[in-house]
Amino acid sequence: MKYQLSHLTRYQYQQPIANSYNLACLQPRQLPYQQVLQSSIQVTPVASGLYSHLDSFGNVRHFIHLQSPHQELSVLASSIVEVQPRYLAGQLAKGVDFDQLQHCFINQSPHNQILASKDLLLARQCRFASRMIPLLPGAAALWAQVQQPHRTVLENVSALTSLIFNEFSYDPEFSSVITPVSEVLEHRRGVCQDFAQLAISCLRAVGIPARYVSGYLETQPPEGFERLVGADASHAWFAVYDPELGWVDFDPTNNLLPDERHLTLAYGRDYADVVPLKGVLQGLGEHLLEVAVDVMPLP
Amino acid sequence: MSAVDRLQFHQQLQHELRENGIDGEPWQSGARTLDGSPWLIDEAQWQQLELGLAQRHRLLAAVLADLYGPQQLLQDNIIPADLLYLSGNYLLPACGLFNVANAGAAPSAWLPLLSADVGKNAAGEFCVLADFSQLPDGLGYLLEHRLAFNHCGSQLPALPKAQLAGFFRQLLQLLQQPAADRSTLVGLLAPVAKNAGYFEQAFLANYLDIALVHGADLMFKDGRLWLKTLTGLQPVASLLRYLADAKTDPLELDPSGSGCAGLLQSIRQQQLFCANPPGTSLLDSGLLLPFMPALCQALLGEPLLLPSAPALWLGDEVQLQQFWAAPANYRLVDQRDGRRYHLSRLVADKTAVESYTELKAQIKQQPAAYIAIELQPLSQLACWHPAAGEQMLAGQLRLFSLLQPEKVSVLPGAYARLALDAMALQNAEVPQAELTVKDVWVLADRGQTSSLLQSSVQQLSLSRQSGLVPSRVADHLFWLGRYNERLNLICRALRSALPLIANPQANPQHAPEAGEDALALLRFCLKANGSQLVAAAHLSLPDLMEQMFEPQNSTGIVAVLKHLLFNAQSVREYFGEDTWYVLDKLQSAIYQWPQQLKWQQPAALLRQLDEIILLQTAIYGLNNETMSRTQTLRMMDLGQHLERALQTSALLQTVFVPQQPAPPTSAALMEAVLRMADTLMTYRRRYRSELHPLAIIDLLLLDDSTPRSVGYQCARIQRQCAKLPQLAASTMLSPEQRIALELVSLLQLADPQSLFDSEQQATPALGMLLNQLQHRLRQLSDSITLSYFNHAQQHSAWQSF
Repeated sequence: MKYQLSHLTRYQYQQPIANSYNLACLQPRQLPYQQVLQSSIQVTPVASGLYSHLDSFGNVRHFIHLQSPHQELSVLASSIVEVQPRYLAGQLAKGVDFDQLQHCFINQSPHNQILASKDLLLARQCRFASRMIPLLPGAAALWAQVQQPHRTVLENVSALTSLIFNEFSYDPEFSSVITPVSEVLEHRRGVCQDFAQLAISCLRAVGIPARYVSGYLETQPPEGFERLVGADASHAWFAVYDPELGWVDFDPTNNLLPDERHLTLAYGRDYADVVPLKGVLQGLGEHLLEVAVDVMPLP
Repeated sequence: MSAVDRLQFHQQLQHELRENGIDGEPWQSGARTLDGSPWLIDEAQWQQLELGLAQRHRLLAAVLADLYGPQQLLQDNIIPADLLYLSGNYLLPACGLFNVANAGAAPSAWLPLLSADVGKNAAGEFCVLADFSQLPDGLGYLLEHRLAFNHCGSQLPALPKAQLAGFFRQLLQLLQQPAADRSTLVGLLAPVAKNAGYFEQAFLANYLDIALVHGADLMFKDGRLWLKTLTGLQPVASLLRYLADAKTDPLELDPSGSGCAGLLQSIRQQQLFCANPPGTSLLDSGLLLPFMPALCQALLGEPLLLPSAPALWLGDEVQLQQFWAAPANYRLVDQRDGRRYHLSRLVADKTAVESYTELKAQIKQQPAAYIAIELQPLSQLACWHPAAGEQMLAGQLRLFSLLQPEKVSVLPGAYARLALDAMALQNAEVPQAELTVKDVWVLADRGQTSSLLQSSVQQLSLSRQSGLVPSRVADHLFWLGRYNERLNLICRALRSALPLIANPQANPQHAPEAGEDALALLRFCLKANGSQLVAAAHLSLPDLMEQMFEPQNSTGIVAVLKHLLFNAQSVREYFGEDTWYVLDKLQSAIYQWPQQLKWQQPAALLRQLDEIILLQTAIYGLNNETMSRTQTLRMMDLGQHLERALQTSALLQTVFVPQQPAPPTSAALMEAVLRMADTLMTYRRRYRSELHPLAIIDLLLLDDSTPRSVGYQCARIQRQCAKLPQLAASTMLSPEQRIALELVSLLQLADPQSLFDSEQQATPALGMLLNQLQHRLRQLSDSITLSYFNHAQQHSAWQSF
C-alpha cells in the first residue's frame, strides 16, 4: 500500500516568543517493509535553523530553531510511504519459547564469548525499566493470566494483546501523554500509548524485550470491514523481540498484528524517546496545542 | 625549621589560599588545610605514573568513541550490554555526536581532558581508584597550591621540581585550536549555583584568561554557540566544561538544566569543541574498572600499564559470590543513579541493619546494576597541623592529562588530598573543612617555564578576548557601581548624623535643631535604598534608627551591603586578587555587625562605618588600577556616577526643599551636607563666609568641577555614554547619549538666582529641577538596561513543552 501522510502540529502562545528550539521526530523511518519515497518538514514562521540527524535508535530527528518573534508555530511533516505486508500472523508458532528466549540473555558474562548482533543489543536495552515505563508487579500479573507454557512467547504476547483489548476501555478523555502506567492499570482505561506502555511494562517485568513504536493507522476502512479506533491521530503500539523472527509488532488497541495499514514513524524504549515535537523557549505564558493527522491511501 | 617558624609558615600558606578568595565564604564552610611539606615524587616513579595515565587516557577515549558509536565492544561482549544500558550516565542523545560528517572522527574529541585519582595498594604500588571526566575538579586548586608555595616557599629546600605552566599553556592551545580565526572565543562553562567549586572555576578562568560563562550567557544560532556581550553576539569556539553532563542542554538532556539549548547540536555541526563533551561522565562511576585489562588488549593491543583498583561487576555470578565473601572490602556504586554505599560501615554498624538488608534485596533484584570497587590502604604521609601536631594521614593523588590526536600530555604535578580515614577519602565522604591537601612536586627537571604569560604570540590573541564583556557581567558591574556608591553615601550621611543625635550639647549653637537635622539625614538614607516610609514624616528617631540598622530590613544598610556583595561575587572572576581580599573583608563586616545597637554611644558604630567607607573606597581605587577591560570599568563607572548624581540630587532635595513649610535649613545640617560631600574645605576656600544655601547648591549641583557635584557626574556620564558600544549603525545619538545631553543641558540652563528667594527659602524651581534630574537619571538606568543587559535577564527560565 502507498500513502500520502501529513502530520501538522500547531502551537499558539499567549505572548510572542523571541527564541525557541525544537526537536522533532516526525519523519517516518526506512524499514525492510516500509519505504519512505518522499519526505519534507515545513516550519512556519520560517525556521532560522533546520538540521537533521539520526538518533541512537536510527530514528530521524530534526532540530528546529526559530528566532524571529512569533506567537504561532506550525510544523507540517509530509511524506509518501509505501508499506508491504509482513505475513507474520501465521508465523507466531515458529518463534521461540520462553526458556529459549531467556537463554539469549543469560550468558552475558564476559567470560562467555558470545557475539551479539545489533538487534540483540537493542533487545537487551529493551528489557529494563525506562523513564516512562516502570516494571510494575500489577502489570506482570497480566502475564500470569495469559501465559501458557506450551505456546511460543509470541503466541502468549498475542494473548496478552487480546486481554488488554478485551479488559481495558479505550477512553481518550481519561489520559494524557504523561499518564503513568500505574494509573492505566488501576483504572483499566486509556489510549493507544497507554496500552502499548502497559504491555511493555508487563513483558519487561517478566524478562521479555519489548519496544515502543510510534506511527499512524490508515482509518478509511475497506468495504465490509469495521472501522478501527485511532482515527486521524498519531498511533502507537509495541514490538517484541524473537531471535527467530526478529522484532514482531502487536497493536493492543485494535487487537491485531500491524501490517500494511500501520505506518511506522519511530521506535524507542518508551514515548519519551520518540516524542513527535518537543522544545524549549524563551518567554512566559501558556500555549495551545493542535494536532492534525491525515493518512490518505494513494492508488 | 623551628616550631615558631613552622607555625608562621603554616599560617602564611593558609593566608595565601584565603587571599585568593577560594575559600570566600568562611562562615559557610571551612577551608581545606594546605600542608607545609609537599608530596615528593621521584622521577622513576613519576615516569611510571605518566606512562600509565597517558595509556589510560588514549584507551578511555577509544572506549567512549566506541560506546557512543559503533558499539563493537558490546557486540564482542567485552563490556556487558546490560551494564551499559542500566547506567544512568549513558546519555543516548550523545550517541553519534562526532559521527555525522565522518565516521572516522578522532576518538580524542571524546575525551580531551582526563583526571584520575591514584593511590597505593597493599603492595605499595600505585593504582587508579577512580576516573573523573565530567568536571576537572582540582585543576584550579593545584595551581593555587603551587602559587602559594611560590610566594612563601623560601623556607623550603630548592628542589628541581617540574613546572606546571607548560601544561596549562597546552590546555589553552588545545582550546584555542578549533578557532579558525582569532575572533572566536574560549569560555569556561560554569554552573549558576554558587558552590565551593565556583571559586576554583573563577580562579582558573582568570589564570587562563578565558571568559567564565553561564548557560544563560550563551545562545545557539546559525549552527553554533554565541556569547552575548556588550558589543553583540560573539562566536564561541570551545568550552572548558564545569557543568554536569545532564545539565548542559535543556532541549536534549535534563530540561531543568542551566546549560544552553543547542549545545549538543553545535557539537554535531562541528562548530564547538567541548572539553569534555556531554556523555563522558559514563567513566566516572567506575563502570569500566572491572574490564580495563580486557579493554586495553582489545582496543590498543597492549597490556594495561597502570592497573585500576580491583573491581567486580555483580551481574556476573562468580564476581557476585566474590563480593559477598568480603563485602566490607568494597565500596559499591549503583550505576543507575550513581549512589555510593560504604559497605564496611554498613556491615559493622548494628543500627544500620535495616538499610543493609534493604541494600541486599536491591542487589538481588538487579545485580547487573552494581560495580564494587576494592578499597585500598593508600600511602601514609606526614602532615603537620597547629592543633594536631605531626600526624600520618592517608593520601591520594589526582592526576590530569590532555589528549590531542597526536599525543598525550600529563600534568607534572597533582592535587593531593589527605585524611585520617582512607576509606572515607576513597568514598568522597570527607568534608572540605577536614581535608588536608598537599602540593605535589615531581622531582624532575622538565624545562623552566614559570608563567603562562611568556609567549608573546599567545598574549596578543588573549588580550583581544578579554575586551569582550558578557551582558550579564556588565549588568552586575553596573549595579555593583550603583550599590557601592549608595553604600558610600549612606555611610557618610550616618557618620554626619550620629554625632548630632548622640551629643547635641557638643554643638551648643545649634542644639535645638540637632534632632531635626539628624532625622533629615536618616530619611535620606532610608529613601536612598527605596524605602517608602519617607512620606511618614512623623517617624521617631528610634524607629528610623531601627529601620536603618536592623539587618533583616530590606532598605537598611545591611541590605545595601548584601546587594553590593551579591553583584560583586557574581562577577568575581573580573577582579584582581587584592579586590577579592577587600570584598572578603566587606563581607565579614556584615557578620560582625553589632547585635545590640547602642546609638547613644556611637563610637563603635562610627568605627564600623569608617571601616566600610575605607574598604569600598579601596574597591574603587583597586579597580581603577587593575581592571584592564575598558568596557567593564566603564559599566562600573557609569553605575557609580549615575548613583552619585541621583542620590546627591535626592539629598539636596531632602535638605533644601521641605515638604511642608519649615524654618530655613540649619547651619549644622548644611555643614553636614558639605562634610558628606568632602567639600567643606573647598567651600571655605571659595566663600570664606557663613554657610549660604545658594552657594552650597552652586557647589554641589551646578558646578561641574567639584568631583561630588551633580554637574560633574552628569558631564562624566555624558563622556562615558559616548564611549559605550554602538549597537546600531547610525549617525544619530544613542538613547543613552540623548538622556545624558538632557541632563547636562538641564544644569547648564538653570538660573542659580531663581532657585532661592530673598529669605533664602528654596523656590519651586529648585524642587522641579531636582525632580527632573532624578527622573532623567532613572530613565538612563532603564535605557542602559534595555540596550545592553536585557537579553541576559530574559534567559532565566527555559520553558519546555
